[in-house]
Amino acid sequence: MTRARITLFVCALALAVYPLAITSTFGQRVGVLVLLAALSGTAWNIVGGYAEQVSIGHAVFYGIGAYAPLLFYTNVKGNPILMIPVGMVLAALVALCVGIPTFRLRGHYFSMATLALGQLFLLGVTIAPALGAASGLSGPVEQNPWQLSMRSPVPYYYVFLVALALMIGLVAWLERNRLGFYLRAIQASERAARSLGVPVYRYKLIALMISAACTALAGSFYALFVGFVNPESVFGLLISVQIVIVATLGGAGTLYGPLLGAAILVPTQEWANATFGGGGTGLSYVVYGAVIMVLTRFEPGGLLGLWKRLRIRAAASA
Amino acid sequence: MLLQARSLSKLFGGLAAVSDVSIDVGPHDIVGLIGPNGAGKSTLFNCLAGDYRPTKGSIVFDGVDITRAEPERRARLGIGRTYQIPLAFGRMSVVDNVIVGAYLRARTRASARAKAQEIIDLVGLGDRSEVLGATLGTLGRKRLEIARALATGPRVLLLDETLAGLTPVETREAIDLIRRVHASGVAIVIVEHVMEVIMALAQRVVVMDEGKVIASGSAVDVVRDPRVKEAYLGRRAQP
Repeated sequence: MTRARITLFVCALALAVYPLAITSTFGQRVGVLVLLAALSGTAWNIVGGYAEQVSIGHAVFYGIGAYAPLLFYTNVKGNPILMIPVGMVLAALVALCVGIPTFRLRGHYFSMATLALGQLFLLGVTIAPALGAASGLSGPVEQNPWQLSMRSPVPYYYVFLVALALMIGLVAWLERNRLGFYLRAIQASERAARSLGVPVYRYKLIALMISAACTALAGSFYALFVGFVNPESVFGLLISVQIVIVATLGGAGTLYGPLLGAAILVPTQEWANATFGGGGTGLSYVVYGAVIMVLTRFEPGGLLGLWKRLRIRAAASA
Repeated sequence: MLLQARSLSKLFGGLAAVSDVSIDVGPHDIVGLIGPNGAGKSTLFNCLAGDYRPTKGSIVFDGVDITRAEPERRARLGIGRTYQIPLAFGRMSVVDNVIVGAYLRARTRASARAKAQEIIDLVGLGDRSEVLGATLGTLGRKRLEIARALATGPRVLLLDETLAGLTPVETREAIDLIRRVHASGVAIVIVEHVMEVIMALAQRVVVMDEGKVIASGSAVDVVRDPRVKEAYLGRRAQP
């Protein structure tokens, strides 16, 4: 137990001093992107990892979170930050509407439904002039910390780090309470869970709504950090897939899995894009495909699952 | 009567797996449900537990009609069950498995945990409460299933071939456990095709064959019944 505490402390310390140690803007930007991916991965993990209701449409919630602040800013020049909670509530409501019909479906059917829904939103936003259509929306240009608009990535980094700590704290709390127990029971056997009086359908809905609100927060942060969104960059399939990969690479259904997955995947991706020609999202698809193949073949439990297995083996042979 | 099924029938396509079966379970009963393979025991059982909806007939639990109630509602009313093939939550520890059940009536985490711990001790898994569900052996998993169901605070416990696949020593331990559960005030319906288990436990036995009840009464009377012998062993060839 103490060793786990020490590891946790060292990792937290490393995250806290990272932007002070890495002074290049590129390196700091990568740090911010890692935190954004960890935020959305941690959010997805609530419903996709613990309950194993694998949504491939979380870009819907990410996109809602991303669009809400910039839409407010573009139309009424209001402070975009004010719209973050609105985006979260909106995402939770959409989650409720999505969950009511799709949670009647099981396993792969649920995944397929969320996938289709993601594409539907992407298309809908692309053809809606009020939402900036295909060209998207821009945020504030002038520096203003009160609107979370700054040139250096460092302030973003710390805001996102605090948010991530809070979100992980929330998930840790859920994990230890009724919701966490029920979600893990649903993951293992819905039939057995129901026989124990677990209202499976209701708890899936609750989990999806919490997950959606948290994902929207990550989307809002992304929009404020980049200062620009278009349909493909926040509602795109690549976003939905990245969210799933980040969580499952580190370990779906584990507290720190998504953070670990983000810390590995995002730098790899940024490095590959920088080395083999920037801007191309094609390479991301290749990386994701490779990760999916390796994971499903060798370690569905992700890296934390592998670590656990190795430790059990080491303990057994000692 | 605590649990009452009236003229239950369950059809799969044209086949009547259960036809016109009535069964009564009192609050302090141990009722054994036996019969050869394919007699319809498991189908009847699943109708009582809520996994199947009966085609005809009604089920009343403590004055409430539950014929069409979902399994989770039955659990809330006080019906607990185990599965023929244990469905342990493999990635959760033994105590966490049982806490899932305890949360049905517990408000706080502390009270759910306390209840779970108490039941784990009762079923004899006290020394393995932190072990993962998936690592338990057959007997361990069956104990875990009983513990989980007990944690929901049931008034009747439905046991589906809980003792199948156990060694003779394990079977005796399991019978002991069921007796302890019964003594704590829980009615029991047990499906089994191992005759010794039923003889040792059941106050009343219901024998099914081809979807119908062919005999019921005390264990001793039932085994002497020629129709029961016939169902199990076949009719003696006429010389």
